[in-house]
Amino acid sequence: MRMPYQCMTRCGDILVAARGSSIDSFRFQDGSLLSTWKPPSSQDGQGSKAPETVAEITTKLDSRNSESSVEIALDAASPPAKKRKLSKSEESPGHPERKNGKKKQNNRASALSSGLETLAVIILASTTDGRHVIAVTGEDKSIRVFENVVKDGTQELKQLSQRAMPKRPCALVISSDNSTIISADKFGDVYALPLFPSANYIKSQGQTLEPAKPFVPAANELTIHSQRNRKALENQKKHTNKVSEKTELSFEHRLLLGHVSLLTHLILVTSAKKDYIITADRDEHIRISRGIPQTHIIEGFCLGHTEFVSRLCIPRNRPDILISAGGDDEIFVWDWKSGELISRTNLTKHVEALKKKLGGAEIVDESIELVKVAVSGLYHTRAHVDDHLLDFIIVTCEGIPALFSFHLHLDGDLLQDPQIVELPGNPLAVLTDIPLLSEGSTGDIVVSIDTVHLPGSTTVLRSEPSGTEKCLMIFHHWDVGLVPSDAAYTEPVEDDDSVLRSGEGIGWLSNLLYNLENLRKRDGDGQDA
Amino acid sequence: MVGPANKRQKRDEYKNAKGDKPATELPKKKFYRQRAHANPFSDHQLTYPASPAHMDWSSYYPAFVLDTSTEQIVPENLARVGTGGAVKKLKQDVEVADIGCGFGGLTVALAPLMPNTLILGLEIRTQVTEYVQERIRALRAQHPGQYENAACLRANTMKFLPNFFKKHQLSKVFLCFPDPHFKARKHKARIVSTTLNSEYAYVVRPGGIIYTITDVEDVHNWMVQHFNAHPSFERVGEEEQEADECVKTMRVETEEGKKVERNKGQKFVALFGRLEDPAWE
Repeated sequence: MRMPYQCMTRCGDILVAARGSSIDSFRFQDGSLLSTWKPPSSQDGQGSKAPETVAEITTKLDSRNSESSVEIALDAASPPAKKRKLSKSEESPGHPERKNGKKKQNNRASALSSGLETLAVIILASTTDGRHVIAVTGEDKSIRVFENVVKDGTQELKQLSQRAMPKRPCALVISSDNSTIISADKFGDVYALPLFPSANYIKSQGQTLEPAKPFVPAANELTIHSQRNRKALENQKKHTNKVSEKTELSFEHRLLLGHVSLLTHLILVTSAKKDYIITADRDEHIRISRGIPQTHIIEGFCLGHTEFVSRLCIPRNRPDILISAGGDDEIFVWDWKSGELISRTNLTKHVEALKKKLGGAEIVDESIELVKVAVSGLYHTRAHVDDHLLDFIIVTCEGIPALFSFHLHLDGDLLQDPQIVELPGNPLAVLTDIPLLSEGSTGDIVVSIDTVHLPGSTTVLRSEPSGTEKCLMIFHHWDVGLVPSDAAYTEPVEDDDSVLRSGEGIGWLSNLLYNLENLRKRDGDGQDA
Repeated sequence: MVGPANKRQKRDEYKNAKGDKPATELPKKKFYRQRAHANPFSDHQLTYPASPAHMDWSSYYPAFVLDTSTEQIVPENLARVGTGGAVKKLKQDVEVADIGCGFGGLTVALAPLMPNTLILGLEIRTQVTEYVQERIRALRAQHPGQYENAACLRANTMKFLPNFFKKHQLSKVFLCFPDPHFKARKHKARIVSTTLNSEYAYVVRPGGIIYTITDVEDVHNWMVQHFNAHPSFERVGEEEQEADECVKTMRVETEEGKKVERNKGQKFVALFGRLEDPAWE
């Protein structure tokens, strides 16, 4: 079985795609594999090394960021601190996965003990000049910047920096001048970091007021009134030597804006010479803020979604409209500057029709009476059809083995005439605007296919791998629509698929590839306090 | 567990018997008590409008409903895409928000002070919200024609403020005796933070004022520091602050304010004016 690619980006003439913790680079032109980057730890004997690495990371995190509350009793010499539940440590409060937190943690714990490398790449981005690739590894919340070194026909990714963020990044973009990384995290905060960390960054540069001050309880006799609170305060006062907790990142960063929610997507757009940042969250909001340096000013909201928003898309040639989708049945089109909704297009009915067509044989996890759709991708592409240059919006949904290609009409701003392209597996990522591979074709795209799970399922595995499935498929846009191409990438032969041999590994992989449906709010979740 | 069951039974009995009592009787707090803290990051089971245009205020301010029963106004773009139903319009918008109104002392005290302004108390705890709603109902029955401009609803404002209020809709926002969240780990849960202040700046019009009061000096310093750090706000000078009628009311009429008074505690007040947005850089 082969590990599928969970994310992709285009870096100049090179396709960069991540599977698990490795990053493969391919040449678009001929599809040849150029290089594979693996995180350092997996190079020297995985089995024994991996758990230690993870422990190191955890300690690093702990010292860097006391607020993250990751606490593992590594250092027995240190005074016993207040024990916190480990299962809570990674989960932000109110995070949808909290209910499964325990299970997930166990998954991870046993995955670690079995020597599984869990530093999965969750986001890939690249600078427009094709010189740098940015990857986010989820477990250590790190943003890694790579230099794309091309020399004498060889290419490799060279890691330049690694910066651990306070919370796990959920979306990341690079500013148009390629100087700044803008990262949105699961705690709702958006940070700006320079692409290259400056060497002479001085910690706490006007960030916080006080240097390590002795701990003083925030409460006093006048603010508390109950017997028990008084006792607690007296106890606190005895521990005056405790240094107050302070979070400090050791690199230059700036907090741009924040939601009190999990952020799902972030885009930058320039319209009428003004820069904007658009952010989407789990609580149905799409927020329009001014661009750097006035990100504290909210210009407006696009409100109308009734489920989480997971993806945003602004067509390159139509910067005035915003397309959004998520857990709702419909795709929304907005006049985002006024916040006005222009149109809604039903997606669920197409998914339902497809499911019916594929029948029960292919779709295994059938407790589905109501088809719920979680949009995992919204992409804009342009293609020549009958000598007209037309706009298309390609939509993918979590665990649905198809591409939905809607025609975006310029007048009326509607999404129409969807072409439904069935795929041999669930799509995991799509890359549009790739360099053309064959004469006469337009709007070529690459689709990453899940070759591990059954098409239409996010949990059930394929029984027997034939070994011939391709993880990456290329499509051309002809007059009839999207058609698969014969061109292919030389995918590396999986040298180590131990991950896919254990139950924990599979659980870990499923969580990595399919996590959007977890964003849906459940009835009875978060009971009233 | 005998205790809680008994308590619930008593509450049910009390609430069922409400119908027999005169409408003018004020609710009893003891039947509406609820733990003082709620997790603002939790989903709860909240009801909130998809957008301000979806919000039907008519049941909250029945005396202020625009009398156009024949032609109900539906925002144009909503009609076009068929969202929601017809929403009864009010003669005017809500302009004052008491965020975390608790048992509603300030909300009902402000109502006679600003009889022509709609005041809304927002509270995250269901029981407490219910109490304030009952209280306003009783006050309206006791004083016909008064308290029609006060209302209370349940909301998590840290998440859903822009769902209720349009850009620049509010002129005054009160943040009275907020949950102090002492632990550094919990600071993100505080009602004031630099990032959240952007949302207050969004709903408050330039010239509007944010009122804060707390009995915890640390929280006061925190709020001052974070509002000062936000370019859209500027602290109001002491003289102007003390001349403000609302400040006096806020000091003595909030339920928490009264409690602090009884315990001879300190009160820290700070007001912040909403500045005009700067030109686009």
